[in-house]
Amino acid sequence: MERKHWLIHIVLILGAVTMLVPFYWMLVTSLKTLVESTQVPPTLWPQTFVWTNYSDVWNSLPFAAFYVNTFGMIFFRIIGSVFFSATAAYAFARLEFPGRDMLFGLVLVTMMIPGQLFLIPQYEIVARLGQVDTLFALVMPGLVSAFGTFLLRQFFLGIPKELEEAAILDGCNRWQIFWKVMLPLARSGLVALGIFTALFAWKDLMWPLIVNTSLDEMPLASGLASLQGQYSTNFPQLMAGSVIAIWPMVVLFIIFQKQFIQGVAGTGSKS
Amino acid sequence: MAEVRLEHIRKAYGDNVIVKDFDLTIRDKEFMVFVGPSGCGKSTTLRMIAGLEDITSGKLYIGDKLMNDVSPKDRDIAMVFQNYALYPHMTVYENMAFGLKMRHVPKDVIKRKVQEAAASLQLTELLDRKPKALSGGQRQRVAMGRAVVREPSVFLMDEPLSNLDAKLRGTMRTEISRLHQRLQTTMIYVTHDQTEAMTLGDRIVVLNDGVIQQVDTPMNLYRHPCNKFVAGFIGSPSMNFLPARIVGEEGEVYLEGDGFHANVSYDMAQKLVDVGAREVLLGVRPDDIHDAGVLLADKKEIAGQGNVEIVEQLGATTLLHMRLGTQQIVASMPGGQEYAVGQQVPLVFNIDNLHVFSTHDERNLML
Ligand SMILES: Nc1ncnc2c1ncn2[C@@H]1O[C@H](COP(=O)(O)OP(=O)(O)OP(=O)(O)O)[C@@H](O)[C@H]1O
Ligand SMILES: [Mg+2]
Repeated sequence: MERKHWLIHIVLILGAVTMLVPFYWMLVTSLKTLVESTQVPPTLWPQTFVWTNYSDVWNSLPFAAFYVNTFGMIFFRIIGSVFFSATAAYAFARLEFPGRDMLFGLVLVTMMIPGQLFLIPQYEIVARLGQVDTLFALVMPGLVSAFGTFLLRQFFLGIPKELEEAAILDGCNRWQIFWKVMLPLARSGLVALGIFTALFAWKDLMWPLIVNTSLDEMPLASGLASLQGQYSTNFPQLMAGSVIAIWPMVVLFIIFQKQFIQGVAGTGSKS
Repeated sequence: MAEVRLEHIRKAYGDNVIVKDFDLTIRDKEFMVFVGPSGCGKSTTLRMIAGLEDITSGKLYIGDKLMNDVSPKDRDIAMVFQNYALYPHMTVYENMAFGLKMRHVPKDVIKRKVQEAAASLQLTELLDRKPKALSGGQRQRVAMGRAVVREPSVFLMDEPLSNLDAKLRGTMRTEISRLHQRLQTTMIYVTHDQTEAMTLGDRIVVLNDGVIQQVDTPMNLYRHPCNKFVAGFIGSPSMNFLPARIVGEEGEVYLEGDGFHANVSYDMAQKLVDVGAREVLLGVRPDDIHDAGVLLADKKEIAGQGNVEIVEQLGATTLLHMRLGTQQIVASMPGGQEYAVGQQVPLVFNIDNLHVFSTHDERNLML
């Protein structure tokens, strides 16, 4: 019993260390001089702390705009995907209309197609709407989510039909049933979808890189990528930029830790 | 005023007819029970009254209004579901208030009504709890409370007690009776439990296979079942059915079958003479079979010898599962009597309570 306990701990500690080393390396490198950062063998602790790496990189790029764009993109994508997925999922789960199952099959199929295939048509849409280099362009592909529709449909299917019938007798119309009974009961599903959407939007690099080319319209991901081009060998500044880019996400994670873990681990099981 | 009238109601899913020609008038303030075996269409009928299912054909009136195309929320009904269907994300108070809120009843009125209903159902202490934190019986009472606050003109209940344990079910049964006396509202109650039906109903509808078998008061159903199905369904333990032959002429008629020979009452004899067929089905309730030894009965009255196979002692009564000829029968004896497996018991039938059914269409031939 006791030995097994230790074994599990050792495995977990190894896992944690593996995850933390890159973060540590990023932090340490961001404070080194350029020479020290490429030294062999590498140093585990900076010989001198070069805090100016941060001010230099902050001044060289419009980080304020990056933040605004990133959070704008995440905010509207969450609103959009949660709203549209929930309404679509409810329809697929509970309404009866001709072609319902076939349409839902099509939604599932889109999940199986590699996302890169959509890049060109999506760009076409944004370009023809005259929205290239705007916040809308960043948000657009994330407004609807096939995965979210699938996920929330499972949640709605798990809610007993009697609850809806009770709501009908209590005087609710369709929209009120959805809004006052179904949505609150699918809360953990909505939170999970919100988290997935935020994560995906945060990490999305390809799409912002293609659609928004002026620096002021970029989110953090593609903004940082441009840093790599400018300072291809200046690792300390690159790392300083990365630290500036990730700290809001880390703070958010710490604040929402509980919901985050519940959302990812408990999907589908709570109702 | 809320009489509920079902005129030739029919329900079909595709070619599958679930409810056939359901014709019934439920009087204002009546407690009407629908009873029948699983799958006979009780819930479906109730849900058509509620408006949760479409009516395939026929007419439904509540009060004087044709309700076929009226939406459920405008039918002035409230329903209690088998699994209660309480909103898990709302407190007990919110659950009970929800229906009123949706109907834009002023806040202070809602508050007063919910608190009144809660007090009468002993829920006052629980108003701030979520359903998850309630026991089965408490949830059941919340479900009732939610219906009560609406003050509907008809209450619909679909097996509201079937998720409770036996003891609680007994308590809740009396509570529902009391509720009905207090509210004086029409109630339609679905159950497959004949005890619930007998104890609660002013009248009972016995359903089988989507067809009404008989509508009557509990005692009339018990005493004068219209056919074998009703006779077997109402009463516990079930009536014994024994194939029998009508023997003899006017004045000297009796029923004879495998292992028994039953005298009949004068009235019955008169009627048996007129029955065309000779072969019938004799129905005897377990309560109407007595031990000739205990009764000190005359030898002439003994109907047959039962061979005891199983003895079930229930306290006040003892159930004897016996073999009579080649047939299985059940008799209910007073609890004080001792019986042993294998014992031969001389049996007497209560001749005033015998039933005779047609072997051909299972109709009660004595009605
Ligand atoms: N949506 C449906 N489509 C097809 N058949 C259905 C549907 N709903 C119910 N049925 C059938 O109708 C019949 C009656 O169902 P109903 O629920 O009314 O039975 P019940 O008398 O309430 O039984 P129980 O005591 O088990 O609740 C059943 O045979 C059932 O299979
Ligand atoms: Mg049912």
